[in-house]
Amino acid sequence: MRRFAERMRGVQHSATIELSDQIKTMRKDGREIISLAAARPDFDTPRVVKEAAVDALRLGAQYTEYTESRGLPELREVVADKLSRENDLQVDPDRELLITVGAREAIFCALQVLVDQGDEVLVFDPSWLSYRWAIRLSGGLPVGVPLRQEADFHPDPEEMLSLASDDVRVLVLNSPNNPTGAVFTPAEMQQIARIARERDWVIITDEIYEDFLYGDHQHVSPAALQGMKDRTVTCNSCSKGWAMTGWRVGYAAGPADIIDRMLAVHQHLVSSPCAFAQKGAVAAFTHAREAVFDMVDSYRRRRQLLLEGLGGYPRVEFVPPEGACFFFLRFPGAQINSEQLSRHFLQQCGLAMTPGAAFGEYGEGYLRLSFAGVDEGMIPEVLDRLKRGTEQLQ
Amino acid sequence: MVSERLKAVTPSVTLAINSRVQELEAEGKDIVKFGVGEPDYPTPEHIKEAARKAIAQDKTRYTPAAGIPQLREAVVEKFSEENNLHYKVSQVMVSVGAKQAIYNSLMALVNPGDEVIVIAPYWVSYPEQVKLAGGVPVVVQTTEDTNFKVTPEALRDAISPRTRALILNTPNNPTGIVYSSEELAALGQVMLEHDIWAICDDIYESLVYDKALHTSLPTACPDMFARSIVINGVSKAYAMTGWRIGYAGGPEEIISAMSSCQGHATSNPTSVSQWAALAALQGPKGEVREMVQDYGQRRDYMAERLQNIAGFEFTKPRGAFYLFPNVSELIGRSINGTKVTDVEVLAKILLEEAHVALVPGSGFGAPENLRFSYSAAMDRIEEGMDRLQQALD
Repeated sequence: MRRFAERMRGVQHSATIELSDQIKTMRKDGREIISLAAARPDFDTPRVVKEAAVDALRLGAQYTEYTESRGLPELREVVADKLSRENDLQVDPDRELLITVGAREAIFCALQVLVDQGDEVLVFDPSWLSYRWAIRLSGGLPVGVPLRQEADFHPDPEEMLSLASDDVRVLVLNSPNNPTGAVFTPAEMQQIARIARERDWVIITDEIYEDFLYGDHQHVSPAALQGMKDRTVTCNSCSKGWAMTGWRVGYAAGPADIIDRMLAVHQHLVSSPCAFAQKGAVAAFTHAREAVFDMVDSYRRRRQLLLEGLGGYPRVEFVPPEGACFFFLRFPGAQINSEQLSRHFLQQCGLAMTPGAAFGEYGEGYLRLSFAGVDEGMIPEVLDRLKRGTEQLQ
Repeated sequence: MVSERLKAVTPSVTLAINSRVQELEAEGKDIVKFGVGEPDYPTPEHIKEAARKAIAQDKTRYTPAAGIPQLREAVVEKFSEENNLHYKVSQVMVSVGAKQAIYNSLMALVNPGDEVIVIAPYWVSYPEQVKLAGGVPVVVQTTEDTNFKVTPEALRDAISPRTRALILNTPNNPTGIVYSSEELAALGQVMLEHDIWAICDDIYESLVYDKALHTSLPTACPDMFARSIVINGVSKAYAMTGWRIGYAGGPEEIISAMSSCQGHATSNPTSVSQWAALAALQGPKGEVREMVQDYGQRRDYMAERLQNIAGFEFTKPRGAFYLFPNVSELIGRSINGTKVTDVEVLAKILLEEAHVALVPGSGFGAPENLRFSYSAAMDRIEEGMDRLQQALD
């Protein structure tokens, strides 16, 4: 008897989760492991957010019952303000905004709404693995658009165009990028936007790392570019900026017709996000913007220390991250694939890094080093182990 | 722009009523709400306390997609003690409400074009969720004649070679009926003969009255254990709708597929809510029992008042918090000069004229019925019934 739907064939649990299980097992056995695997911030949720959630619980049933399925009106208001102020994007909080269970649900609902069985969906390679599975769960076929180290992991719009068949209707975009750390330039965004307009594509843009920028790199929301508001779904969340990964509050901003259909999926999928968590999110947007910048400062210092430590060390190649919280490392001369590399560093030097192949074909040969979860003080030790493990590869 | 799959999906009728209610309230009107299926109780204090503690201890990070192990263990224990269903931890998972658990089940089981049997009157989301999973909802109509229960014969008639699963909801929304163990065993036999999965929505399990007993389908029909996904949650039992915690038990491979689906759709339910749900499942049940007693009294009162208003025909149901009277006698009549052409018009008139919010049965696949929720407070029920009596006399 057939047990599964076809769509579940090959849908994998996330590679990052499997790695974290392995770490747990090794730690139980007494091994001391430094995890550079999870993209989860090591900060705590800001106090003001926690207090707002606790207050909400005290306010009777209002924040322990279903909220409007679109999300609390006051949360939609502050999100619309934020988009207007910071992303140059004007949205009607009643029609063009949906509060979701993290950015993940926003992306999932957008794909459910936009993709028909058998449609091709463009997605950069390497990129976060969940995009590809969410595309498959919507019945679509992911088509990878390479991001190459030679180009500092920046997109090549011409190549993108050459890979897109006439059936493509959707492009999934993520800048600042996980896992490469690239931040697409304003000019690149303009080029991508022009192609999307010419080819009548909708862009689903995942902007969860928008605050994590280094040097003079700027974040551009494609929806804010001319003629793009009608064909862009902007997805974001409170998770990375405010260390609120467990609260599960995100949002999608987009054209009213798409948001309306996403609302239908959302209503039949989850009803509404957790009520008091939404109240916490209101406080995050209203009172805790600086907390994000403090966190970014600390990430900036970690990045700098890693850059200094790895600069001039010829056995590891990388492009200095422009944004997000990752180094995407390559080991020239190593004769093993990324999974074996990951295992090598974990077993031999107690360093957990995610195999690049988990992010797509073009991630093979790389390891993703996340500095989201590692304190500054640990970085000399990280560098030490990293170099030691690299020497052993030769 | 919109995919074919989504063109077929309709937003929920209940929510449409809610927005009109909100508009009227914004105009300053006092509306008696019999529309929503939501406990009017606050979440019990010890559960909120567990949430505050989790926040204070910074348990605010991602958890495993399928839920924290402690909660999954508590779910295993709950199923074992209360339903005589014995799962391993790997056979249960936690979701963003029972709703997502049902969605996950359908995504894990249904191929495009597969048929899923839904029994009318049904909860509005079932057919839509089947469509979202690419399946075809096959509706089996039931009426007052069988007390809104599907018979083994009717089920057998609805099965085709493409039938993949049946969604069964007892205690039932919107009818309030509760299937007996014998009835479930008989349905289970039919499903076994045809190798069909059961998706059992037991979310109203704790809300039963008059000594009625809830039985889960695989409890009544143990041979169906390997073909059943049993779904429940803390929303109705512990007045925790806004916390968004549901859970499911089933064969390991299916739970594992459901958990991957969830991992890519939302990842874990809110971490703080999970710790609170753990306190709910392990904590004292006194408040829950009182709540159920209260609901029982409200049900008796509402039923008695409604029986005295001409045009509402029903047998008093023994579960959930709904009455689902047949109002066909009122259709064709005029109320305040407006002709009642169908239940939707009737619900609209009662909302606009009497300021009582009800849900028309048409959205549940029952075009002759109106759904009354008695989860409202007693004085509101009195007020609402007074208004109805006045409007209809």
